[in-house]
Amino acid sequence: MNRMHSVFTLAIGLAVVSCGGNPEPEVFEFPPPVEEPAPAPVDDGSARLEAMAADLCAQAAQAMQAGDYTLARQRLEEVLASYPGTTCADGAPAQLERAMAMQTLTARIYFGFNLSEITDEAAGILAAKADVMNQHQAVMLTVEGHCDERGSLEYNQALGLRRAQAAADYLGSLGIDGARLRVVTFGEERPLAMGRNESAWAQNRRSEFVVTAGGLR
Amino acid sequence: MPAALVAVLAGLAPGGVIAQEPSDDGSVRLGITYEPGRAPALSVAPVGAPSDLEVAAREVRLILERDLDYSDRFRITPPLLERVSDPPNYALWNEADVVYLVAADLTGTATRPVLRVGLHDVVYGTMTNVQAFSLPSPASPTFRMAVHRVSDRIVSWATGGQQGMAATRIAFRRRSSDGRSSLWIVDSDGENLTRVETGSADAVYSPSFSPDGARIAYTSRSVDATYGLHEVNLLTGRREEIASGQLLLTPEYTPGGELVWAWGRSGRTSIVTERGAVLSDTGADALNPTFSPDGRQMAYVSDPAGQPQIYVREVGRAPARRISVYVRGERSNAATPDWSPDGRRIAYSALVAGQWRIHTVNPDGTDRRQITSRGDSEMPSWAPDSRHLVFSVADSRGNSMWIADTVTGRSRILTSGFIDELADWSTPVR
Repeated sequence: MNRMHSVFTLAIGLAVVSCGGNPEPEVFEFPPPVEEPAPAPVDDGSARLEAMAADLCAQAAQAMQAGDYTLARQRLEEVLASYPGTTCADGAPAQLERAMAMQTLTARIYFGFNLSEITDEAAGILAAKADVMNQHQAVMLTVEGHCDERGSLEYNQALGLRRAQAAADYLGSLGIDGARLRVVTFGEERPLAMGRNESAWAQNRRSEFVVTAGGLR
Repeated sequence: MPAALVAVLAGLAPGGVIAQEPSDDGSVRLGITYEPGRAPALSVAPVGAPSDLEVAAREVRLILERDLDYSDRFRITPPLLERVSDPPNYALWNEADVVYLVAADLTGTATRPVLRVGLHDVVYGTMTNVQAFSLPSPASPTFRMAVHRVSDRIVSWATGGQQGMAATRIAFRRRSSDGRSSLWIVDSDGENLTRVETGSADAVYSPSFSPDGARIAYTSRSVDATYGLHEVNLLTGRREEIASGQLLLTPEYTPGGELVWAWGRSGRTSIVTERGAVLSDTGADALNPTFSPDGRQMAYVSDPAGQPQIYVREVGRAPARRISVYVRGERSNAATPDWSPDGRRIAYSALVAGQWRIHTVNPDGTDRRQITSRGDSEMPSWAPDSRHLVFSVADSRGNSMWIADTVTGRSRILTSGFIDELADWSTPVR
């Protein structure tokens, strides 16, 4: 449209010049400007905060799903600290409590070489689990026994069972009903750390705890 | 033996296995002394056959020659002649230092060949044994095993009745890269590698042949760590679950055929029988039962002193005596005992300076010998000849399964490139 307009203007101009004299320049009416939409109300930042908080909550939920309760806690604590008043922050305390409970319930305990005795450190971890289980009576755990690779394959299955049972027995001594615990062994077949050194072996001599019921996820 | 094969075997043999002094295991007969380089020379002559059986005859000769080589009782010498006269020219063979000459003919039909085999004592210039064997069709999957049985008969003739190990199989588990494992069997010469169907198990363990070699008991673990004890019939493929539970381990048949295994309950693992009897003490874990040929004694792994060691006891009686080395305060570990079929030795693996080594020991704990010295060598199982062991090796070259002769120290690779372990050697296949 504008290009047509320009071509038309140029043609008229040339006609005027060719006729000589000082003609009055033609005045053209341009079409009225298109009406702009009304400007949006001024953003006070709350929507942006909601979006950022929601993103953190989504990350927390994803971490919970993946069993990374440390990350879930970090994200939820960030929501509470940085985005108070958002919808996500309103629900964060309950989610944070769930994440902390799951972190406690799934915390690993470790054992010495060829041993199934509960260390002082493991006892503390198990006591914390028992507290959570007492608060959440629907929670049920599978207690897994694992070993490093140095024993024989088959002996390690027996050793893994002994470790898992030792952990379950300790929870039992703290009042947890044995019916809420399933004791299993994987021997050396599910190592946490690869490598043939004490650091890897120490990480692999462990019990893991899997929450199988209780609605905390 | 062909020079190339000699070279290959020579290349495989050193390093992993320590040559032992000749054992006083009753195997010294007819002046044969089983020492490296001093085994009597044996030659397998070309097998005569009509034209329609020539291919089968060549295969028969190769199987016989390799079996007799793998028996580690002879020094294989290539045949001097394309044809052996009847009787053979003993002087000619004697000049080539051949002590035993195996001469054979394949006759009959392509579907029912008959192998007539004679064993000649070249030194005495006489045929000591001769027998005709009816074989299945060369196309049959049972053909090779039938020829292996002939090899074992030749070993028996040449050694005054000793048991061979050619007609046998080895069952083991193979670990895959995803952490799962499966059950396999292979003939003792490395042929006929076959996977045994085990259903949906995430892992399988500890295959054990029944005394008749027709069945294998094994345990399995599902993804959720439920264990099962199974028996599979190799003839029919039928699989049966015998028990399931928290932990089922190391099944073993007694010489009488009763199934015994380790059963883990409430954190404690004990050795139990099919009939429910408990064969181990209650105060310690116990697993890996293996029985003396008369079934009266049992060797097993237990840890009453804190570290797993090998113990021997009269079945149903206390006390048990330890036969592996335990040094208080040191991280020692012994595992997977296997009682030799002749009852004279128990093989097991033990940690030596942090590495697994195969050992053998008398059942009373005396005369302990370390058999291997390379990498981690574990999980030994005796051949029916009570002199060969199969075991797993992990070293800088990877994982493999080896067979070693405990008398000469000669060894060979059975499988490689996979994590093959928990082997069990069958009785002779009928």
